Amino acid sequence: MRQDKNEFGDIARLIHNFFKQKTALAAAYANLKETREQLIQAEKMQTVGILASGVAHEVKNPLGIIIQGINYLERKISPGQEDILKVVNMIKEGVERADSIIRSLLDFSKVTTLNLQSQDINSILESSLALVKPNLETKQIEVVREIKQDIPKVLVDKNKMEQVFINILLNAIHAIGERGKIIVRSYDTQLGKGKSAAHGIGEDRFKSRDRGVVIEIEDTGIGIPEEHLGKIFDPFFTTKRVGEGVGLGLSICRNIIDIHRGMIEIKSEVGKGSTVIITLGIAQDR
Amino acid sequence: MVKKKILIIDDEKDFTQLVKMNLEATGEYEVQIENKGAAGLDAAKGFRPDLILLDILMPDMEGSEVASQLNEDNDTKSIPVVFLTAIVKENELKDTGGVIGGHRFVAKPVSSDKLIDIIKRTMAGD
Repeated sequence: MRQDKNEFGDIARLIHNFFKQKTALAAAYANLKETREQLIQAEKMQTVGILASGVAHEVKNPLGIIIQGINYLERKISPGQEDILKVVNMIKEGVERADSIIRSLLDFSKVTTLNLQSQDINSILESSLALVKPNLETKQIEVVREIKQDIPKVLVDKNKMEQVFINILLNAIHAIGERGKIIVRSYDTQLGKGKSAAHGIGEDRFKSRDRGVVIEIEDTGIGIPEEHLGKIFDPFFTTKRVGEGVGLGLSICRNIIDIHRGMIEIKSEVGKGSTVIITLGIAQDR
Repeated sequence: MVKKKILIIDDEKDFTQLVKMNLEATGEYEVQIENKGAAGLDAAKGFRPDLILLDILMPDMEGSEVASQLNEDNDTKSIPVVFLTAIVKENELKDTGGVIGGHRFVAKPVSSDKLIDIIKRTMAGD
C-alpha cells in the first residue's frame, strides 16, 4: 500500500515535471518564433533600405532636372497662355507626387534609432489631432474623444508615435469621405487576456501579468473587406486609387510599433468602419 | 550691380545647365559649371566664386572630399559651400535647419526659387 503511494507520488511528480517542461518549451518556442520573425523582418528591411536609397538617388536627380526645367519654362510663359501654365502646374504636381513616393519609401526602410522618453500618450494624440485639423476642416467629420485621463506614461519616441497616429487618422478621414465620425480612445488595461479577434502584429508580445496602454482610433468609414485585412500591414498593399497612396502608411506604422515592442491590430466591417488598436507596454514594466 | 559668382560642381549635366540658366535669368548671378570634383577644385581657385553648390555623390570624387580639400586651401577655404543631395530628405533638413555638420544642405529635387533663397541666405551668413 505504502509502495503504491510512493509510486503514485513519483508518477504525479513526473506528470508535474512533464507539464512544467511542456510550458517552458512552449514559451521557448514562442520566443524563438518571434525572434525568427524579427530576423526575417530585419533582413527584408535591410534589402528594402538598400533598394530605397539607390532608387531615391536615381529618381531624385531626374526629378531635380524636371523641376528646374519647369521653373525655367515658367518664366517664358506670357500672360494669356493659361493653357500652358496649367500643363506646367500639372507637371510640377507630378514631380511632387513622385518625390513624396520616394520619401515614403525612405521612411519605410529607414533603420530608426528611437528617442525613447516617458510620455503621456494622450498629449501625443492631441498634438496628432491638431496636425490633421486642416484635413478635417474641409469635411463634416466629428471627432469624439473617449480619453481616460491620468493613464500611466509609456516609453515612446514622441515624433514616431505622432507619425503613427497621423497616418491612421488620415486613413480614417480618407475612409470616411465627406461625413462621419472618428472616435479616439485611450485607456490602460491588463494585457494578454486571450487572443483578440482583430488582425494584428505582435499579438504574442505581452505576458499575462503585463499592463499596457491602449489607443484606439475608430472611424465610420467604408470599412475593409475581410479578405484584405490579413494583408493590410504588408508594404505596398493599398486599396486606394493611383495617386492617393502607395500602400506604405500602415507598413510604416507597423514598423514603428514593432520597434517600440508594441502591438497594432485592426478590426473592420465593410460599410460600418474600422478600428485600429495600438497597445504599448507601460514604462515602468519594461 | 556686380553679379555674384556661383560655381556648380555636380555630375548631372542637365541639372547643372538648368540651374545655371535659372540663376543667370535673374540677372544677379554669373555661373560656372564643373561636372567633375577634381575640375571643380581647379575652378574654385580660378573662378573665385562667392558660393559653391556641391553635389555629394559624384563618380570621380565625393562632395565631402571636395569640401575637405577646399577647406585645406587658403585660397578657397572661406568660400561658403552648399551641398546638393538626392539622399537627405527635406523633412530631415527641416529638423536641423538645413545645416548638418556646419554645412548647409539642399535636398533634390529643389525649385529654383528655393535654391535662390538658400544661396542668398548662405551668402548673407544667415
